[in-house]
Amino acid sequence: MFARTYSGVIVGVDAHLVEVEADTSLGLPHFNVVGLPDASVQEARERVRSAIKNSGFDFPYNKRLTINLAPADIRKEGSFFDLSIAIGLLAATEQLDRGNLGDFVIIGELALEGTVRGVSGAFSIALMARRERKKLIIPNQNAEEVAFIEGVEAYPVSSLAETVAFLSGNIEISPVPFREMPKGDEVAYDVDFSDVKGQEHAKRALEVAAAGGHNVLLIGPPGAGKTMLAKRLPTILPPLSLEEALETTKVYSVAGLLSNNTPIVLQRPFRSPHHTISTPGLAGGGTVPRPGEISLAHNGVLFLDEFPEFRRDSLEVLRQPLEEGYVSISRAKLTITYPARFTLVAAMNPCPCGYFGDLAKACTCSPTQIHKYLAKISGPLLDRIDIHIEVPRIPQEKLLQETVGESSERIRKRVARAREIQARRFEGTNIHFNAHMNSRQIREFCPLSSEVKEVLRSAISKLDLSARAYDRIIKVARTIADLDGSENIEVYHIGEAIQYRALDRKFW
Amino acid sequence: MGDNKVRKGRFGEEIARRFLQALGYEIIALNFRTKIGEIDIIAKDEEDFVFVEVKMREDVDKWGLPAEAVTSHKREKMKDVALLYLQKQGVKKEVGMRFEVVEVLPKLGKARLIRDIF
Repeated sequence: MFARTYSGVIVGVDAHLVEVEADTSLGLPHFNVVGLPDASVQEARERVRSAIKNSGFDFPYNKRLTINLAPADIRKEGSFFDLSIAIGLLAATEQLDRGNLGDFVIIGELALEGTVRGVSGAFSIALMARRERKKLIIPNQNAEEVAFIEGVEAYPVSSLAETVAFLSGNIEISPVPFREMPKGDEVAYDVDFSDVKGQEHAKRALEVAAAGGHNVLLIGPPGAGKTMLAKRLPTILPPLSLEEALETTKVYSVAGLLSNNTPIVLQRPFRSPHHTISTPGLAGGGTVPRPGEISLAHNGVLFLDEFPEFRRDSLEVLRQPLEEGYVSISRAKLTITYPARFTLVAAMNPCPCGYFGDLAKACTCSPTQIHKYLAKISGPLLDRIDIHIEVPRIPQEKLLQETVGESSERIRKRVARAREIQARRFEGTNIHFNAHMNSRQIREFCPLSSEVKEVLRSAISKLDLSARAYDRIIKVARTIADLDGSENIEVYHIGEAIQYRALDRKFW
Repeated sequence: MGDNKVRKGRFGEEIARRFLQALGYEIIALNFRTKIGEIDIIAKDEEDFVFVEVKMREDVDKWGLPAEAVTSHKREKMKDVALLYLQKQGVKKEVGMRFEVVEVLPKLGKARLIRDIF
């Protein structure tokens, strides 16, 4: 006999519908799964067999069992086909009425005793079910996750027996009630910019970065507060919009990082991978493809401490996402795309020992050592970082002062205003931030008065700035003017922007 | 020594045969032997052809459970022999087939049927 159920497969961060066809026929007993299943799907056979037996049903061990997962050209990974395969087999052996099976997308991993375990990617599966206009049967553990998706009827189950009873109409299960997403501004962060003493210069630079979507490089000796500053950047970014929250949640769902306690991502993510991270760990990929750190930082902040210590090839993969906002991972059979639009905050010491240029402690590095250290960061990568600032150590007296800095909330309001100005400016174009302007757009949106041009020209020749610095300075100046609410870029805007090119001036 | 083994084997198979008959199986062949291997008992249970391997152990503590001796190699061989049997009988291979093991534990006076060996 034959039965068909529906399940889903995750490709990248999106789910596709999969038809699970179950056929039982007479002949040499055998249990076969076809349709490009990987090892974890092959293992479903053992789980399904035990779960069916231990749930009080008959496993058809005198029959030839064939499961086909269509479309057959997409590789099927993960354990969430278990439940749909089991249901298909029970329907094919007439232990379950086939009537309404076609209305449901069924996902869930089976334990040997017949209980249903949670899966990763339920959020994307639920979006797919809504698109396909099907109802959803999901593990209990994933219920909270799909609650935020409007217009999908999701029935949480805890065991195979319960699923069968529900599908046969013997019991009622109430669908997961829809929950409104909390508004972004109701989300509290547990850190705040007012925690940071001193470093007004760096704080201002981060404000400019947040406003214009610029990437930042912080250069300073150990203990200057680079990490502390970077951690607080998400708190001055505007709250996640509904669309952004959905996108980021999708990534976290696929990565299996959601639970019933944190079913949805509402804060801008802050990711700070260690510098020993592998390239797939950073960019995504691996045998079972998983989003990397850059995708987990989607719509948030990626903080790379000890920037030059990262593997060279790991850093180079950052180029595409910094430019395009996504990362493509090519493998033999397919290309996966993960979203990766983030603000990069890189931090580094000015030299291997860390104290080059420090006022109190002498640097012990040779010029060659320093040169080699700085050369680890390639020009093209540096090109994508608009703002470089020095973060000096804070003198002790200042640390002990009781002054409280400006709160994140106040800075966030200024940032939001500057972003509104940009939203109006870039209406009808495909960019949102000053940082993403190309040279044509720079000419169009950043007309410079002759006075400003003169300042910029003399700065470039006096400070020996590189040519690539020119466009960067204008872009950053545009953001500073936006923060100021100024229509035109004035001399002092350009003046401030020139300060954010520490590397061009001092080290490179 | 060799004869002794065969005698013990026959003894176990005899117990298994009676055991299966008591369960309502219709025995249709005993010791079906071919070039590629042997099946101890072939029976019919309702519509299904049932191919049975008989295993006996006198000392479970020493040698382990009888069924443990049915290795994957033996199971694969049983499939081959079963298909050959059906072919020889002129039966289509699209029939219900089961592969089972009967454990005989003479010291405990026990026999046990294992219905699903794959």
